[in-house]
Amino acid sequence: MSSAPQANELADRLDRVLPPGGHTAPDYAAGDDPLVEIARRLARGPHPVLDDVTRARIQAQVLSHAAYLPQATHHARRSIGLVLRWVAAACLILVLLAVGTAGVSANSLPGDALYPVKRLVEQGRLALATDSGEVSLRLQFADRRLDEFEELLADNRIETDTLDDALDEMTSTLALVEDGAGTRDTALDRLADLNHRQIELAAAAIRQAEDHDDRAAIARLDTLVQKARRFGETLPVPAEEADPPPSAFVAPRAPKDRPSVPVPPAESAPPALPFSAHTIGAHRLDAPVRPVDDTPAADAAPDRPEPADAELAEPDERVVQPVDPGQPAAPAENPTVRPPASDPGNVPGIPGRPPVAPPGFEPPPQDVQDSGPADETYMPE
Amino acid sequence: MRDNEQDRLIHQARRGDRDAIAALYQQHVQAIFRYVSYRVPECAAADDLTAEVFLRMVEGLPRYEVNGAPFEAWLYRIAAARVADHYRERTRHPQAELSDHVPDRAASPEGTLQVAEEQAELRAALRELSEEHQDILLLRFVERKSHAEVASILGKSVTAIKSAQHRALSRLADMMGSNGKPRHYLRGSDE
Repeated sequence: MSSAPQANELADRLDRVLPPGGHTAPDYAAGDDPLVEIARRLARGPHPVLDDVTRARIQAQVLSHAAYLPQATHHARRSIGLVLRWVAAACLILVLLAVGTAGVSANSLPGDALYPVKRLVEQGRLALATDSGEVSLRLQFADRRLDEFEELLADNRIETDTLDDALDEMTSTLALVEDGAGTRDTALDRLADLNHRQIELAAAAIRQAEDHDDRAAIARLDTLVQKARRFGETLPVPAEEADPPPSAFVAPRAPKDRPSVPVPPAESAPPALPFSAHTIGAHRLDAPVRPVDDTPAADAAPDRPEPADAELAEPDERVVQPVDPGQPAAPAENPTVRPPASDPGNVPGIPGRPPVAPPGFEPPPQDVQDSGPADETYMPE
Repeated sequence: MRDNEQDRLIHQARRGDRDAIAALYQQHVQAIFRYVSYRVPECAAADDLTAEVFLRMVEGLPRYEVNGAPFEAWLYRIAAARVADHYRERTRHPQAELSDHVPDRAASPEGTLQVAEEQAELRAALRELSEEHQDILLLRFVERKSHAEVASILGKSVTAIKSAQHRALSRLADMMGSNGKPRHYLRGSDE
C-alpha cells in the first residue's frame, strides 16, 4: 500500500524527471530510485509505431466504413423527424380531443361542465367569421341560447343569464346589420322572431317562477322582458314592409315562422288602451310607444285606415296594457297586466308589433290615467 | 491542438466530413496503437484492434457528445474495451501466443538487442498489472500525460491516480527485480 505522502512525493519526483508532454527520455543520472527508474525505462522506449502502410490501410478502411454509416446530420434529421412526428401526433390528439370535446359540449347546457367549452367554441367561430358570417352566427347563437333556456325551463330551472346572452347576441347582430353586414331584411325578420320567442319564454318562466313564488327570478325576468321589448321596438322595419300600400292595412310585423300569439277576444280584452290612435297602423316599430294622453284618441280615429283584410286586422291586433314594473308578481291585483299562468297561450308582451286597437275601440280615460309609461307595458295576448 | 479546433473537427466528423474523420484518425492513431501494442503483444492483433477502435469511433461519432471530457478519453475507453474483448475471445479460443520478442516495427535505430530484450521484459511485466495500473503507467510514461490528464481520461481524482501510480510502479519494480526483490514474474508467479 502507498500512503498519500509517499504517492505525492513520488508524483513530484516523476514530474521533475519526466515532465508531462515530453516525448524524449531525459537524462537521469541518479539510479537510486527504483520507481523513478522503472518509469524512466517505460518512457525511454522505444515505443511501437504504426508504419505508414498499415496506417494508410486502416485509414482507408475507416473512411470507407464512414461512407456507409448514418452521420450525425442524418441522425439529427432522424431526431428532428422523430420530434416532428411526436409533435404532429400530439397535435392530432389535441385536435381530436378538442373536436371530441367540442362535439360533446354542443349538447351541454348552462351549468354543465362542458358548457364553457361550447361557448369557447362559439367565440372561436365568431373570431374567424366575416361580418356577414358573424350576423348568421350570432343569430344562430341567440337561437341556441333560447333553446337552452327552454330546455332548462322544462327542467324547472330558470337561467335568466341565458336569456340575457341571447339578447346580447341579438343586439350585436342588429349593430352589424345597421353597419351593412349580412342580408338586412332576412336578419331583421330573424331578430323579430327571436325577440318574440324570447319574450314568450320569459313569460313562461315568469309563470313558473310565480308557481314557485320565486320573486327574485320574477324580478329578473321582468327586467329582461322590459329590455327585450325595448329591443323589439328598436328593430327597423324591413324594406318590403317599410312602405306599405296606402290602401292596404298592414298588420304589425309578426314572426313568419311562428304561429301568431293568440289574442284574447275583444270582449275579454282589458279596457286599458294607453296608445293614441295615430300610433295604430303607423307600423313604425322603432317609434316610441306613447300613452294615450299624449295624443287625443279622437285625433287618431280618422287617420286609422280601414282594414282591407279582416284577417289582418282582427287576430293580430294587440292591446297593450300598462303594468307597474315594480309589481311584476302581483297579477291578481291587475289581471290585465299578466294573464294567469294557467293559460299557456298568454304572453305578456310582443315586441315588434306596435299596439293596434280594435276598430272602434275607445280607451276609457280612467285606464289611461292608471297606465304607466308605454314602454313599460305588457302586451297580453 | 486547441480544444475549440478539436471540437470543430469532432463536429465536422459527426456530420460525415471525411477530412475531419481522417484528421481525427491521424491525430490519435499512433497513441492508440501504442496503447494497444503495450496491452496486446501480437503485432497483427494490435493492428486489427487499432483498426477496430477507429471503426467504432466512426460508428459512435453521431452519438458522441462534446461534454468537456477529452476526445482521446473516449478513444482509450474504446481501445480498452477492444483489448478486453480480445483477451476474452482468446480465452474462449486459445491460440498459440506469439512471442513478446517480436521486434518493434519502428524500433529505435540505436536500439540494441539488449535494449529490445529489456523492453520486452518490461512489457511482459507491465501486462501482469491490473488494467487500471497498466493504463496509468502507459498514459503517464509512454504518452507522457500529466496526472490531471490521466485522471480526466480515466475518470478518477488526481489523488487516486497518484496513489495508483505509486502502487503500480512499486509492483512493476518488484517484478523487474529493480526494487531489490527477485524477478519472479518471469516464472509465472502471481507474486
